Amino acid sequence: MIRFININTCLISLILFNVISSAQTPEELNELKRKSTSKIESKYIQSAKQYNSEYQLFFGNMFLFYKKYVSSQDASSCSFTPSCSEYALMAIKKQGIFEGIVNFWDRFSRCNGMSPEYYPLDNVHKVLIDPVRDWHYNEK
Amino acid sequence: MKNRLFLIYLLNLIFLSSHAQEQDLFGYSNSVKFANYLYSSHEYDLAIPEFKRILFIDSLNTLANIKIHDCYIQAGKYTEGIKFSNHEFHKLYDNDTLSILRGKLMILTDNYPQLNSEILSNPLSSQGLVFLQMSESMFNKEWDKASGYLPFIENYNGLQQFVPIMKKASNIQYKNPALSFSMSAIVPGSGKVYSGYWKDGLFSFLFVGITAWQSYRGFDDKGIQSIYGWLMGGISFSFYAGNLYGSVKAANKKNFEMENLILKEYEEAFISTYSNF
Repeated sequence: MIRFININTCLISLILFNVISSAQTPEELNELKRKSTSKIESKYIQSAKQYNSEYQLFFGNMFLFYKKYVSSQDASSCSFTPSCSEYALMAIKKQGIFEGIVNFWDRFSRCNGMSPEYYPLDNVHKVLIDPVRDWHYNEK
Repeated sequence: MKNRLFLIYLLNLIFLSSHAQEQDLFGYSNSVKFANYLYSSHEYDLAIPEFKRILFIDSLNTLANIKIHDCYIQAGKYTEGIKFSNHEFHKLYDNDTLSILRGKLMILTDNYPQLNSEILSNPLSSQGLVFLQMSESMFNKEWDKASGYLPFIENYNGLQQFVPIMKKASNIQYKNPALSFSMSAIVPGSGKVYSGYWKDGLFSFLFVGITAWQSYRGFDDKGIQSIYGWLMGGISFSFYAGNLYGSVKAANKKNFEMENLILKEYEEAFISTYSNF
């Protein structure tokens, strides 16, 4: 009886696995392989690698270091999109070193998740949308 | 027998063929009925091709032309509406309602130069002219200029729904960015509270206050050589500068939001107003 069940189980398993294994076409498998091996860089990482001046090079590298060795070791905890580090990078690039840093400190003090009613919600990532804006409240 | 059956079959075919043609589903009157049904049930996207069929049959049908313009506006397809209007408008340029709808499409696509040169320079009915001029001012956030039309629209029955919106627009209580900045310079976060973002204000106050207190403790313990005191002092100063910047931004954000709220309300009324002319 046990031997019979074993043979049956083996046969059913073989058929089942055969079906499952053929459920993906070679094209789909290639697509999955491409997705799992390719590194798609975010626009902020790409932006950090482009610079027009020494201070942009300095802050860009600081951002890349933070993203690679600090931020990657922990789950995402920022309430906003773009995140505070991305905001700082873009603010410095767009507004210059002084205004950009001051703008970042304002953003940093608001990053507490206690005021969701002040911002629209990004329904995909479930974070609040707060793009870089100058003191006139114009989007940069 | 076979010939008889064939004859009956032929007669049936002729009868059914003529019967099927009786319905004439895509004829003029049925198209008008169906298009009006779609329009009245707010299916504007579907109503557009039906009204276009009517226009194809009768190219000078003013009502179909008007309804297509309005359908484009109601469906939110402003750019496509302008394209259609550019193609069809010349046939009926002297129609007031059509001019107003074309003007509305121009306002909704921010095409103010064309609006002024083409629509507002034509002899419109005074009511339509006031409506478009007032709307142009409103969408450009020229509240004072727009409120100048208030005495006129109060007398027009079709434009009564705009009166409370216009009054609201002329009475916006703007937040003063300079006052917000000054308040935050004295008490960190108070400018944000004044602008209506009390939670942000509270956090600014806490961040600046706690770091400044830690800095004071560091200096109090080890004097001017205290690294902790300098570090916390630096962070506190950064939060303070951010608080000043954020207070001005908060006042401007509040003003922007108040204006947008009124504009949204006006736009809803603006889009739904047409049958009054």
